[in-house]
Amino acid sequence: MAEEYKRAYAFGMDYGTSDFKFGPISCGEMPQIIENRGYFPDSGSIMYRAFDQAKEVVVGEEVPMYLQSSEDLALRLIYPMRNGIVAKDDERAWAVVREITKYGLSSFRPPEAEFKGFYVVASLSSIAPKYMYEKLFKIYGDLAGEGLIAASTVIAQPLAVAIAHKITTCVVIESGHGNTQICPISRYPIRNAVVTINRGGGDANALTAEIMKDAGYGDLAREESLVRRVKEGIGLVPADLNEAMEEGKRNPKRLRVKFKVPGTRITVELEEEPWRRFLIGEFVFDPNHEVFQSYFRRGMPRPGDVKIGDATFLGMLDFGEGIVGSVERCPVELQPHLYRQILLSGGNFSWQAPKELEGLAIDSKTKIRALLKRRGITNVKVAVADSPQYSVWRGCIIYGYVVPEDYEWDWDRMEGWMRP
Amino acid sequence: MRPKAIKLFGRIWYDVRLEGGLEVEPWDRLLDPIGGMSRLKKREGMRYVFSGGTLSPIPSPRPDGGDFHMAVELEEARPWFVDAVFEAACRDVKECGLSLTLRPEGLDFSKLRDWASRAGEGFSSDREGAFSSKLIVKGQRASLTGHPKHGILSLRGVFRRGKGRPSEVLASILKEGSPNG
Repeated sequence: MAEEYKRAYAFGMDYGTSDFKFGPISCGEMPQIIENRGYFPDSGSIMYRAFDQAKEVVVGEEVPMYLQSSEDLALRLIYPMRNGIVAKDDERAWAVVREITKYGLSSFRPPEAEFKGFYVVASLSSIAPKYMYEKLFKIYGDLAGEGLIAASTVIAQPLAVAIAHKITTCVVIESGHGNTQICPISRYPIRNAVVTINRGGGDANALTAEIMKDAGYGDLAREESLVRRVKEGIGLVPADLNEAMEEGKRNPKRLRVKFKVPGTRITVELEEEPWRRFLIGEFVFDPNHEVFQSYFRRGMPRPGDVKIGDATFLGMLDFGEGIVGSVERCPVELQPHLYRQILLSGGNFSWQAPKELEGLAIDSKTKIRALLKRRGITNVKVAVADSPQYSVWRGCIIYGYVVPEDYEWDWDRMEGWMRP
Repeated sequence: MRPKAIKLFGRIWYDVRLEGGLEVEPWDRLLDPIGGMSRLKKREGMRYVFSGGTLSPIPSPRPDGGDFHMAVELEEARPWFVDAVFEAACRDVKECGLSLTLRPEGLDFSKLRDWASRAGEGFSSDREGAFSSKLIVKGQRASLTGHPKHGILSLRGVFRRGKGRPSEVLASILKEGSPNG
């Protein structure tokens, strides 16, 4: 009965730097998504005291209704994760993590009387330090007291992706808003071979903002959510950046683009130098072309190397080099098998390759193949996860279904169910 | 609302006795008859993409003895395809667990909730309109849960061979929540 109960109430949580994706097994194909952030209202203000219930942190859809001036945002709007990591002593950040967790669980609390809490499977970055597991389990223990959690476990995001695709020997490249993790998996993540890159969708947003400024949309370029939509609307991945730029200069009409933001009167048009669309995609995969230097010189931050916990995130490493570097840390016999099963996951791989730009614009898997070919690796199979932005969550759900209910958490193996 | 236009996500599971040292894997036994009912379009790893939906086995620890828990995941499945998987599974067992989720457009959740409260047992609901009820539809016992806030309807139960097919059960339920029904 306990096993049956666990299968019915498995609940997945994917803590990304930008988004928090959550939902029970009954969500079907996709989870709910909120931004991974929280707003700390000025609880001393008479307006809050008179009109609102005292809330320490506001999360989810309500956040925009609490926002005030732009200056206020930096102080009160907290994004708890940086490159998938929450600093150990950052109490406000952990308060946000607690609140989004509670929000996710509460919004799916089943009405039935027999409900005694979810079996939560959370997913963190593959380089998340042990203290993050401990802190999460502490939060889950508190929420168990509110009847929301029966047991919990935590797995690495790349492993969740592999599970979602039922592949146990592969390289998972999980590229989100803040960073990219390249993680070989042979039944389990090979931790010593994980390569982390300090570059993700957020960096492509930053470049898109610069391109918008140059095109005369400086006023709009300040709003990150708008910039992100423009990026998704106009950004392209070039097969070869030099050729794409030349073609764009020769035949700009072919690349001209007008992007209308749905539900608004806003239109963004790249009329003068439409070839710059290719820079957005190229920057994600390989930011080393000289054309990017002019943006760095004008103040766009260069993705730098950072050390977070025990991990060093390399900023300018191209994805091809990153994959080779990661695979070559694995046993030689395993390496060909890993190259033959490369899985791309995360919203940062959702690039369109329009038919009318065939030969110039390519999709993510073709780009990865091209980057590896440049390094002499040809026997490669690359697949983009179905609904790449949801595959971590889906892996969490399957993991929760599969791990036996009576399998207790083990800190050495980092697997099993933690009881409150 | 036409059930055939609906896409379903979920799982089907049952316990089988592994006899004769696993000569025929339960997965292969399941897959074989489905191939005759729906065209296999492609295979991606362990995901089998049929014309009626995608099917993949959910890994399960192998028991030293006793029954093996066979579970498969359904993605973007048409109701008739769910029937096909159910019937294939029922060649080996008398009953199967079935869990289906859908996001039905245009469903009147409050109407369905009212029906479920009258027709079912153990009805419960919350302030946001989520509800749960245990029903017997077309001879099959199932628990129906609705989350109008998220637009999700889920059906879960142990379906018995020889009673109503999953598509029939689903069609009956959706009819009760149809704005025009």
